[in-house]
Amino acid sequence: MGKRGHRLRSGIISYGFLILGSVVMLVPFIWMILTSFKTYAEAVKIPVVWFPAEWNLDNYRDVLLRLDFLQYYKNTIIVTLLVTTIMLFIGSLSAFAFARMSFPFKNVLFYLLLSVFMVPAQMTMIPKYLIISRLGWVDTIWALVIPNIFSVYTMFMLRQFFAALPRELEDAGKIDGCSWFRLYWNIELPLCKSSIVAITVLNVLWCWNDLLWPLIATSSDKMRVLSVAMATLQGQHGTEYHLLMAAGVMATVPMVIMYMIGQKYFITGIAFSGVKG
Amino acid sequence: MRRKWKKWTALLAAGMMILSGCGQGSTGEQNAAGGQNAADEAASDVSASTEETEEKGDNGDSAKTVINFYYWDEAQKAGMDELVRLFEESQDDIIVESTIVPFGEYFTKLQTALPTGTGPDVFWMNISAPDYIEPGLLLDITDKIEEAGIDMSKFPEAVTGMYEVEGRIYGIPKDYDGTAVYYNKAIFDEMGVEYPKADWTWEDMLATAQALTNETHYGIVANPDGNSGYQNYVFQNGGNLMDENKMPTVNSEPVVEAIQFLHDLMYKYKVSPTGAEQLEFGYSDMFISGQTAMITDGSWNVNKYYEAMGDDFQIAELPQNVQKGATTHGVAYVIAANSSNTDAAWEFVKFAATKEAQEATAKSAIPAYEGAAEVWKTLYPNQDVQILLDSVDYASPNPRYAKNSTEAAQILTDTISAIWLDENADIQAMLDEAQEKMLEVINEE
Amino acid sequence: MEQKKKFVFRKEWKWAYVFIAPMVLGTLIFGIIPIFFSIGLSLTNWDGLGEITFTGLDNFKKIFTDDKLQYEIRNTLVYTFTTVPITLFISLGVSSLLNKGLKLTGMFRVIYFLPNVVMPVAVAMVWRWLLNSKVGIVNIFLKAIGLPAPNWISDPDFILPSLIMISVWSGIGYNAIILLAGLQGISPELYEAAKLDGANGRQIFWRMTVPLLTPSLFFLSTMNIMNGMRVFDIVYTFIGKADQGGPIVDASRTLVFGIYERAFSFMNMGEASAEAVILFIMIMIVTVVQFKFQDKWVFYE
Repeated sequence: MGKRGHRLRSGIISYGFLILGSVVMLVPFIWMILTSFKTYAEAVKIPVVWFPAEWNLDNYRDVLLRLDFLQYYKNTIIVTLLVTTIMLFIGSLSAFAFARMSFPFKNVLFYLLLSVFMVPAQMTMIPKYLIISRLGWVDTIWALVIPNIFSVYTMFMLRQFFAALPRELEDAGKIDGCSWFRLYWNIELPLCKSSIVAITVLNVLWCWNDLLWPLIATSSDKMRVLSVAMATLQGQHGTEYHLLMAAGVMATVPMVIMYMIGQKYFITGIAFSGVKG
Repeated sequence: MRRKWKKWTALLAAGMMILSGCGQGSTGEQNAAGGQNAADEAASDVSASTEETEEKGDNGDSAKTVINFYYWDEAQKAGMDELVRLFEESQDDIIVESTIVPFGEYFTKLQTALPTGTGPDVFWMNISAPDYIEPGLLLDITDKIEEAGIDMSKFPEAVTGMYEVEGRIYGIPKDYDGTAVYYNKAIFDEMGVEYPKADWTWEDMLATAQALTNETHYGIVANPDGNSGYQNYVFQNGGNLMDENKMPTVNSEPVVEAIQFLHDLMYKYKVSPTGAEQLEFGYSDMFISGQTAMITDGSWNVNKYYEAMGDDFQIAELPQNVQKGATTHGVAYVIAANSSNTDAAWEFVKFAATKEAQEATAKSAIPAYEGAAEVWKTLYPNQDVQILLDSVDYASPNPRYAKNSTEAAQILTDTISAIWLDENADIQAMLDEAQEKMLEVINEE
Repeated sequence: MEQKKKFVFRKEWKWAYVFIAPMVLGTLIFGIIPIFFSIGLSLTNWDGLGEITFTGLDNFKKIFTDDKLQYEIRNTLVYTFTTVPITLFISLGVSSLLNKGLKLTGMFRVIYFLPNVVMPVAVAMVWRWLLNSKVGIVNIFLKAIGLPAPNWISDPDFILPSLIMISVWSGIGYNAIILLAGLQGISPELYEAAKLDGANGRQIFWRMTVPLLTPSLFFLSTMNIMNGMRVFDIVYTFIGKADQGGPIVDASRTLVFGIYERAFSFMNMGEASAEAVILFIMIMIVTVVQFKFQDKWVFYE
């Protein structure tokens, strides 16, 4: 009886917090959608006008006329797929080695890798550009993909997850006569499913939104990605917010869908791997 | 499983080949033959997707020279596309590939790309020109201009001067800016106030602003921007932010008076939103929303206000005090000195300098060529945009200090912002300090 | 454990190096070499375009006498060491709520993630509205419950708290995802066992869940601090674009904001690199300290 009441109360409190938080989290998103239907005057009106006087798709039409969205979608999707897949592979493989294997200079190498987070991207951009121009990659897909696939972030995060897995797995694997790669690929990687989904969601998002590097590394319209195309809507003298938000909604929708699909895997994460701790 | 593993190794090997191929820290023995094949295989996989992205349009005519052209304003895309089309029609040898680089990152992009020679051949330039002229990144086109017989006097002097260093010319003006007072006709009508007249003065403006101020709106906004705001008042007061040696004079009497006048509009007469209010609401947005009846602003915003306000948006001359004064500025086409196609690039720039080409680009900026602005004027039939065109006759360019100009200008911007936020600001003292710091920055080696 | 493995030791090394090779080589070329380039530049007066002249430690001497560097260091540290703990604490709460298996959890997961998807410009614009001193919801709310309503965006004392607030807001979803993944990795049997031992919810959370999450928490705190020390985008979009200088900018400028300004506005790559070296050293110290203390609180299986 008492336990039930307690449960109910804690349920209500949980919902209360979640709903309150949701409102705060939703406001800018809703505002972005509403603004995408406004006229320019409505978009910058003071005090803020929440709802457009007239609902129509004019802004979306204008954006599609001005920007070759289909082409940019295609480029962005190709780059994002390539980068995130290779990134995950390289990252998880090295994460496994750092978490599970012993070798000389392990710590030195690990700290060395971490040092890329100690310098702002704005500073390493120029030498990075010098390297890709030396390689003749400027304005090619190589420039968009290769420099981005080495994600120390992914490596570090997955290292933490591998390190948290029970050590017995390893020994069990060895008794079976598995190679290190099989141990990584067949046993430990599947156990990290939910963290892999999490890191992939974040990587996709990062890759999708990355602006500075694609802008520096490419210049032709053929190589242009969404983030760069949208940045051109922010002019020297003020921004046409109604158009920018329409473009923003179009660029965002795929991310929201991707995340909606991705988040389902969080629920099933460990249950499916069928391994007991 | 097996196949997957094989594919991954191939990709991995390809990655390693590429990495070791560039000569940095290649380690260990490579399984030469196997690695190479795998690399090729994977490379062809990736380049297959490259092919999809790239549609090679000019395979047939390999004899044509391609030049790259960068600019930053998406709003001028129609004009630029038209320019390129007309140019390509006018000859058979050169193709122009244009790229819009967002303004926020435009100079960052130039800074990375130009020195390596992977940047544009032709591009837009603004007041930052000297930064690029000094290290020799812009092509000196003085002789080419002479040879082609281009009459530079057809362009406003204030603009050509921006691209001239020691008598050498580095750019062909594309457009120029005018400055004016913009007003909201509806508020004037509502308050029964007479519209601003030509040759009006600071006192007239103050009186008008006082008559327009009530609890729902201010009369004018004294905006803290140099270009569209305080600098105009400095010129009108017979002052300047720098002397003929390009050294700052920001604590000179005319400057201090002009700043004091604007400060008084905010805090003494209370006819302008305060610095804090402008920060919170944005001065330009306040004008659009009818929270202030007048604003001083540049021709670049005409389209924005017109789109938002329709014919309530009207244009008046800037007020005068000691004299008439306004700010101007202009964008130019320049050529990269290390371009491998300087001749083709010059052909394009030469074409862009013609009246015909300037008229074609007149959709959203005032074209620089004398008389080419008629097209632009037809876009705003109910506004007196001639005022903006005329303002260039009495306008002075933005200051460009002798050295470390952007850093010096930032000191002034910081000081102005501080003055704007502080009701009790000691303007003379603050500008004295700014002057001193600016001199320090400019004289630094 | 090390003993047992001795018979495969050399083979293990070899495989380990093969596994980390792509990562290490790639990072070396596109990450580490550029860092050395930067460090090298800090000893020159390069303007980013012209010739490079060696000037020794001049850049360091100059920027250390610059007031702006003091502001930048102070703001960066205050920002990082308030934002990171607050964000982590709230994210921990949110992720455990999202892991309870309540109805509509899927929807909440999507909603909490949305701030990461919305364009930064939209975020900046909306927050400028929410924080507007006169018409903003935040102040309307504060007034309603009788608290003082500060000028969040036009008062130099409040601009940094505003930035921290926005950063916490946008960081929650992101951190919660990673913690959620960590929570999913804890096997249900452990909870059952704890319950059988008679532990209540709070005890389970603090004595079992949190310790098992420490590897993720360690990752997040390390990364958040490194990212916090390099904060730029939010300062740039929220303040840099609305205000061009003066007291508000001084009260919110961070080290990377300064680095960016020196490098790309003032065209002084040498000074920018010198400031980047200072940032590098600061982050390194903090990171080394974190790794040194990880044994004290991080629980690896």
